[in-house]
Amino acid sequence: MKFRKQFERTVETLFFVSALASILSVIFITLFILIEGLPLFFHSATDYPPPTFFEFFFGTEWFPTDTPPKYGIMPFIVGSLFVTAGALVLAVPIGIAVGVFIAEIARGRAQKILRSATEILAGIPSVVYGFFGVMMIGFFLQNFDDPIVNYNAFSASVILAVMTLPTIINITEVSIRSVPREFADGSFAIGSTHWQTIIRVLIPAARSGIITGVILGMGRAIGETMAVLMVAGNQPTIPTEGFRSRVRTLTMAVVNDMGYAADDHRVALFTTAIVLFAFILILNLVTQIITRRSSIKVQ
Amino acid sequence: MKKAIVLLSLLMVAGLVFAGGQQEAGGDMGDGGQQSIRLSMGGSTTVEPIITSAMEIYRSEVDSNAELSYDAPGSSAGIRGLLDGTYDLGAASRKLKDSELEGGAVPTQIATDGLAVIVNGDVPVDDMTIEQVASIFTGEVTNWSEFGGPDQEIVVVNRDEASGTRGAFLELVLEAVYGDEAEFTLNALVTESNGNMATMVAQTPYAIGYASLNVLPRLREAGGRSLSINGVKDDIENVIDGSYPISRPLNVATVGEPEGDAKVFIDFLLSDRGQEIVAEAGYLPVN
Repeated sequence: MKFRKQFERTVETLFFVSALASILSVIFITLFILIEGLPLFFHSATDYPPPTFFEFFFGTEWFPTDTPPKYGIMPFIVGSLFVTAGALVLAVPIGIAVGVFIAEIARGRAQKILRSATEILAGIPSVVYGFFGVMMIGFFLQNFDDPIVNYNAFSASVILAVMTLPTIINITEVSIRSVPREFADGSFAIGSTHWQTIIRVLIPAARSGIITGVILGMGRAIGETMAVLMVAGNQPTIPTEGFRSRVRTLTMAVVNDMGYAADDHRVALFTTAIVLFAFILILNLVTQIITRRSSIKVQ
Repeated sequence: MKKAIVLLSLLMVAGLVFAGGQQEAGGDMGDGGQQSIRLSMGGSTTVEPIITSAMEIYRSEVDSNAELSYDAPGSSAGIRGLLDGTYDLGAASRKLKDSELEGGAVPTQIATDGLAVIVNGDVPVDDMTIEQVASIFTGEVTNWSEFGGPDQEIVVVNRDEASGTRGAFLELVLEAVYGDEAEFTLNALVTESNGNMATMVAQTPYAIGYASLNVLPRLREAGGRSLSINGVKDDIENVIDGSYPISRPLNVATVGEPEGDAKVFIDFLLSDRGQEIVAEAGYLPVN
């Protein structure tokens, strides 16, 4: 009896330590990038003054090895938002449609196959997506009469769309399922068709869940590095030719330069990472607010 | 709660002890009776094929216990790593910059390389003057119609800023034509290695880039071509006799004159066997 109690105590402690470790990791990583990145604005290793907040965020020129160096990350912010927006335009309608289809329309084997296909999609490593993008999307684009360069924002958006689909599909499916059955029954009882019930009742009722899924997908798209690095063209200028333009995202900027960056340049990469971190943090906060609101409503 | 804290601190102590042990074990190595060389090297992606096969051959033919490693983050990163103490030997596919020489880096040339101007198979041009090449890479000329080709945008492919190949091309082509203020156009794809440059140019319609001579076989296989410059083909012979205008030294660098393990390995690179390796890798031996 005594042994059993002690055993339980030990297991509880182990779990507690594990929980603590994950919280500590978040805290340490946050502190680390802040400590490494913020000094960019306060002192400079060269004779030139450090960049101001304004120059850093709204500067359009990234010449980290010039004298004087220029650290403007606007092209990367625009690049990240641009490819992410493109990905969402493609992935949101398809993702919601597939999620609703799995939850409401598909039955039996079709449902099972679709669900496991989505799970497999979520498990494919991003470097494979990138390679697929270079080979297949590039090949497709070059078969127009007027060939298009295969490294561009469009390829990146398509790849990111495929990568965000599983998140959107899964969460849409789950939230459609969690709509109380009475809602659908009531809708049928007043003579609505299945289609009308889905569009007018189920999707609006599952709205907050679906939006959460979209925002989580957006987080994945903004943070993705390897796949976009392989297809987006890596050009450090603000995209001006729509989806034909080659872009460099925040993540690509960090990876591209980190091998050789020194002094202020290295610090500037951490500052870029802070910006990326802030984006993800904002997205997570928005998700939490939406989820909390909806749970209050249900109560 | 109390227990949790005890457990946590135990874990941390265990971690520290383990880390300490690791370091000590590392420090003991190399004190054995045998005089095996131990070098961590890094730098240029162009020099990488030479050093990696030299490492293999050194281990199989000279000393199987030698501990040799090579990273390829680019020439600038290699020399910076050398000056920081990360590497014992840095490799650069260009002349060392004044700032690097002032920092104490001493270069030893181990090979010579030509830089080929490479184009996609679609490009209808076979020969350019060095001025024309420079005008494309500065962004002054942006359409193939200027060279009698179709009305298509020129897709410039450039290397990243850490690249020695980029530094050498800037100096030998852009600065040679436009003076020291010359800069690459920003309107370009950017890639991070010599090999990837060849693949990208071969795959991208109407693309132009530049790469070390040793990637040419791979480039041709993938469907790309290289241009002759001022009417001179980019053959090894033309690089040797100096008639091909774009060539550069491949250097390894040490802090101060080479000595100890670094000298042993540099001497191997400069020996007949080492220079054979240079030639096999597709570059020009120095002697």
